[in-house]
This record gives sequence, structure tokens and C-alpha cells, in this order.
Amino acid sequence: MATTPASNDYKVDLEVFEGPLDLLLYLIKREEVDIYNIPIERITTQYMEYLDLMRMLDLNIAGEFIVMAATLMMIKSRMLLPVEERPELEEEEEDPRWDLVRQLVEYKKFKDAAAHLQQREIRQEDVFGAGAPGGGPDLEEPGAVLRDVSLFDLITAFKEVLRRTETAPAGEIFAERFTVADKIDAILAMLRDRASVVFTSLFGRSPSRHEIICTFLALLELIRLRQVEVAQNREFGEIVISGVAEALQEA
Amino acid sequence: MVLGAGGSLAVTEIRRCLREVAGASGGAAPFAGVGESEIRAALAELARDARNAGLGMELKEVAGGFRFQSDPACGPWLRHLLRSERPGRLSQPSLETLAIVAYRQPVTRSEIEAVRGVNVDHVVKTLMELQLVRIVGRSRLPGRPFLYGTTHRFLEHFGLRGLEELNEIEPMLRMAEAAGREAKRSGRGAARGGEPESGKADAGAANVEENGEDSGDRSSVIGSESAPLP
Repeated sequence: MATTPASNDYKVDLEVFEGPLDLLLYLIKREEVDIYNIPIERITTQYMEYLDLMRMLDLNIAGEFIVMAATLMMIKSRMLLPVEERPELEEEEEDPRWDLVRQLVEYKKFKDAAAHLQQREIRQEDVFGAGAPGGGPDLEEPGAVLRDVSLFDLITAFKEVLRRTETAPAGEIFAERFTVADKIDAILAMLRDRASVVFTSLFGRSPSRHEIICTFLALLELIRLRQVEVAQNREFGEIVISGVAEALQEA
Repeated sequence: MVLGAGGSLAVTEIRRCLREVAGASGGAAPFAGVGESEIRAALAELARDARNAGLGMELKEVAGGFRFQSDPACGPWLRHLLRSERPGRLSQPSLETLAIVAYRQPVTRSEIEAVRGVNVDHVVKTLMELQLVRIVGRSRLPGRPFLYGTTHRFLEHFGLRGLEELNEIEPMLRMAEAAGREAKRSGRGAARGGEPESGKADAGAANVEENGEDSGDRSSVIGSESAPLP
């Protein structure tokens, strides 16, 4: 693959806090498949696609993502073997997906528990003990910027824009080179005029692949710097970007 | 007493205080022989009265003790009055890691990673800085990795009565009592839904360890999970 466009540019450094299980759960939810009967071929293809996209964006991917890719390939190939020829590692036959499913289900339960804890956390914000000074510890942490909209939601939207551009007829090749820094300015300028913009409107009419990547990286950086916020009205719906006004920021 | 304490006051502390004061004044002070159940009954009545009187405050059991706290509805005004900013909320990875530590404590980093499928060094460090997680001992595994557990502050932050309340939140992840503490944890970690006929032992959390060491003195240290849930 060609060198990443951002390599001699403003270096975006967005650490990926999510892991391969997060991605798998995201895909399972999005594809609306049964976690107990995962269509391994389809999910593996999707997973690899997202992995490619993350590489394209030069995101810091954990090695675990690659390990999981290998695991998925292995499961896929085992499932393709006729039942009689499957290597019998245990006394009984076993669905090759089982280990993974177990891991996913367990992780999902902890995610649910985490959601419950978050509800409690929110309720506790409004509660003050007698005699105790108010306010809790300062909990601003780097991973906290992406909340309602996950990294994978953004990558999905990015994927869509790429796909639409690729099907468009190849136009003239423009000499213009965009940098991530240029795009950061452009996005901020857009948000000065309008309170919020829809993800797709960040891109021009027929942007080049390079431009799409720059724009996306610029967006990620602005999110990280907390100068913009992203939201989705419906799950897997259109992503809306809005500026964070200085006035609204608490000291 | 609850009001003056300025924090969560445990029933045992109340009883001890009553006894000690009685002892100091030569056994003549009232409430000398009050037992725990009587104290609890009195607290329950107090809680009822506070609720019925509509005072805007409630008596709640939090983090192993009782305290008066404001009605959540008064939140906005109190926050403004105390100039307390909304404390930032924990991120998803932090919450998930915290949930794992809470339900599986004492737990090692690799066990946490086995569940999340990704490195947790940074998250654990943050949670420790926030004093929501602490080291509770060391495992006997090679390398003697640290064992982690939740703190008192963790209970306060989430308004939990105690760790046992976690069982109500997510019964499928039920924590078992650390009876004996010699139990191997190989069965732990198996998903509870849709188990296969083979009932094979968990390969994900393969770090078998003993929790012989526990430097913590918290009452509920959780050991291995018991039988599969229905």
C-alpha cells in the first residue's frame, strides 16, 4: 500500500482504546447477527475491511487486532472443513466458533455491567453528602472524548464516503494537495457559519482519496482536542458534527 | 451521630461509640447495651421519617455505612452553590475495566486483558490514580503479578451499599464468596449463556492462581465463581 498521506503532515495521534472484541461486537450489532450463530465468513470479511481502514488512517492499532484477524481466519477455515475432517482437540466435537463466542458473550456482559455503573455514576453526580465537600475527582481522561459515537461508527461513515467516491467516474487529477492542517481550518470555518454539519458535508463533491483521508484525520484530531463534538441521533444513523463553543466550556 | 460524622457511618461504629461512651461514664450512660439490630431498626425509622418529611434529603446506606445525602433532584442548585463542576465521567474502557475488577476481584492484569481482549496498562494506571482501584495482593503465579480490587471510593462514586449490590446489578456475573480461597479459577470466565454440551474449561482466562495472599481487610473479597447459572 502507498505511504499514508499524513506522513509528512500534521501528525494525528489518536490512540485506539478499543480492542478487537469491541470491533467484533460492533460488527455483530451492526450486521444484526446472532452472537450465538455468527456468520464467520461475513464477519471476518468485515473485520478485515475495518482493519484495512484503520491502517489507511495510520491509527495506532494494538497487536491484538492482528492476532484476532488470524484467529478469525483459523475459525473460518475450520468451519469450511467437512465435519469428519475437523481436528479433534477435545473428546467431543465442538463448534470452532465456540471459544470466541464465549469470550464475546462474557465481554458483552461486562459492557452491560459498565452501562449500569455509568447510570449510577450519573445519578451520583447530583447527590451530596452532609458535611462533605462537593465534587468528585477530576475524571477527564483521554479515552473519554468519544462517547455516544464510537470510533467504529466514524470509520463506518468514512468507509461510506470512500465507497461513494470510488464509484464516481475518475475526473481530472487536480494538482491541489490538501494537508490535515488545511482541513482542520476548513472544518472549523464551516462550523463558524453553522451550528452543526452533517458528516457527509465535510467532503467536497468529488474528493480524491487523499482528501477524504485528510478530512477524516482532521476531524479525529478536532474531536481529540475537544473543539468539536460528534453525535448520532439514531444508532448507526447519520453523524452530526458541532463546534464546542468557548462559552459553554466550564472553567 | 450520622449527621456529625460527615461521612458514611457504619453500624458497628455506632455501636462501638455508644459502648465506649457508656464505659467512660461508668456504665450509667443510656444506650450502653444497644445491639446492632436495634441500631439498624432505628436507622430505618430515621430514613422513613426523612423521606416522609419531604426534607429534600435522605438517609442512605452507602459504602458500608449510613449518611445523610441530598435528594438528587436538588443536584443543580447544590452544584452551583458549591461551585462544583460536573465531574468528568469515566470513559467506556475505564468503566468496563472497572466492572471486570469489581466483579472478579482480586484479579490480575492479564485476567482483565483476557476479558477485554486488549492491553489495560494505561486504564488500570488511570483507575488507580483516581483511587477507584488498588492493589490488594500478589498472585502466586510466575512473575508474581499484582492482584487488583476496588476501593472504598469506588463504592462512594457509584453510590453502592457494598460490593454485594453488584450482584443485583448484573446477576449473571455473580460474585461468589471467597470460601476457603484455595479454589482454582479454571472454571471461571465461561460464558453463562448457551453453554456447549462439552462444558469445556475456560481457555481465555487460563491464568490459574491462588488468592492465598490478600493484604486487604475489606470484608468482601471475591473468589472463584460457583456453579453455572441457569
